[in-house]
Amino acid sequence: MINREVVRDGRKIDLQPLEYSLLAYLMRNHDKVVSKTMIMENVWDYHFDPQTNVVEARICRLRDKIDKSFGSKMIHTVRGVGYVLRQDQ
Amino acid sequence: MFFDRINKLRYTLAFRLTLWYAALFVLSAGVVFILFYMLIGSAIEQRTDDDLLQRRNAFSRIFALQGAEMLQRTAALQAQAAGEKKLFYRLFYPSGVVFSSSNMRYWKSIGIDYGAVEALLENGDDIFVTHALPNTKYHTRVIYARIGSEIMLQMGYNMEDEERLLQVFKQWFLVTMSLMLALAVAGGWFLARRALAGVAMVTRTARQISETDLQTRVPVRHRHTEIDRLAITFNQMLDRIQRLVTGTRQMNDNIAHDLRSPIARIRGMAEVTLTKSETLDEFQQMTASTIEECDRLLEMISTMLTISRTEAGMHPDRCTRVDLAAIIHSACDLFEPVAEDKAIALRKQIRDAAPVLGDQRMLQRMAANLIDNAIKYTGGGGVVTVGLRRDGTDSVLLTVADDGMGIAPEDLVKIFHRFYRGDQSRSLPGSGLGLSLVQAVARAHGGDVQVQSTPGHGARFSVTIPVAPTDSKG
Repeated sequence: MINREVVRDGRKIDLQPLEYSLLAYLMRNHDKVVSKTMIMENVWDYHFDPQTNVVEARICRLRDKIDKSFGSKMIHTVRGVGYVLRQDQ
Repeated sequence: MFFDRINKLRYTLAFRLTLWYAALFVLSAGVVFILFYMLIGSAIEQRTDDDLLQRRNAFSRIFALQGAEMLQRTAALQAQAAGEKKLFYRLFYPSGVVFSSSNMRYWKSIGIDYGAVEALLENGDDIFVTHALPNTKYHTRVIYARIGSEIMLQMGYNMEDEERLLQVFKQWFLVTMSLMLALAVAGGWFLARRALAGVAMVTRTARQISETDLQTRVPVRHRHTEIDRLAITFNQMLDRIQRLVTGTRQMNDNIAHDLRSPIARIRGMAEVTLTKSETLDEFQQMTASTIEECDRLLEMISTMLTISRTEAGMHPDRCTRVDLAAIIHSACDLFEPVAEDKAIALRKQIRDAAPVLGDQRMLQRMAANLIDNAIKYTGGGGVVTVGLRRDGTDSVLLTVADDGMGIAPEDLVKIFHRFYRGDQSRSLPGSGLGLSLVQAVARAHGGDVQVQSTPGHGARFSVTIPVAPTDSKG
């Protein structure tokens, strides 16, 4: 965590600071569904929901980097509620 | 009933003004009269004294040149010429023995004032005394003088004629005064009523308005009187109230409309799901949609509350020294992926640190709303420029410019109204509250927001906020 280095399946992944913070938050709350509002508050320290879904855009970026080129999905969308980081069996 | 009305009248301004007017009038006239009266009285006395002194000097000369015999004869002649009741004299020795006098039948009551004689013997100066004549209200002026070393003179002059004149003057004055007092009351009442007629008109209009509608205005005669100014101010206040009431009414309509649509959608979805759906998945879909709609509603309601609270003024506890530049940087970072998705270039032109005193969260929200808007109304491939720089020495200028669809000139003012959405923006998501919040936050921080736009060529929002004083620790 201190080194801010992310590795999946032995491959190093480059993340932007905000993407890193988002991933760290999801990992701390793994297997729990976190809402957009929770992400806004805890990752960005914003206490409201902008009209445009900035969280979704950011999650998309993160997914591209940590899920896309790997076999299984780790970041799942729970419609209407939020997102969850889960290791599918 | 009658007394009731009189009692009410007592408290009216017109009544009081009249009273003041009449009182001042009587007071000033009274002062003038008393001054005149005293002046005339003292003039009469002065003249009498002069006359007595002249005679006494003549007596002294005659005695010195022609002796006591001639003095007696002259005195008798003078008293006779003036009239028995007008002038009297006594010539006596210092011992008090009278050796010559005029006919004293009328003057019996006036004896020799030995106190005056003694004082006269002591220092030799003439002495004047005023005696009241018994049974009349008139006075006699008496001189005591030393004619020779052994001869004393007491001579009196009756001031009745002069005092009668003064009496007449007093009577006439009283008659005139009462007439003028009546005139003053009538005139004062007329003037006060006339001056206050305008006030009465304003009162009538105000009563009419509270009873009926806000359309009525007080007629203004444009004569630049105080009443006209009152009427104009009153009308301006009415204009403002009318605008506020209309605005509130319109906003209520908007709120009702904007809250109705999502609720109608939720109900529609629930109905369709209930009647047509069979699988668990379909029900789950419906629940998720319901949550999304509800979130939107909740956000809208909480934004409304935030705007109201912000407009009511900032909470001092939340006010700290914050760097607006840092806030703008992080807001731009937040929207970077959204802009990228739309292929919009989000450019930052942040020159200086911008310390301001404010509520961090509200300023974040203001910046986010502006950038959000700019991205929303800009087409793919456009450019959104966020600038922040010092504007003079005491304020910072935040600009958010886009090259999107722009804003129609007639909408430029209205976009800051709550729930207002221009024709072009209706199709896009949004609550119509974002810019209201921007304005509320800017104003709560002592600044303001302005917008310039050429339709079709983008819009540019400029927010000015005062710089935090350097000595403040925040």
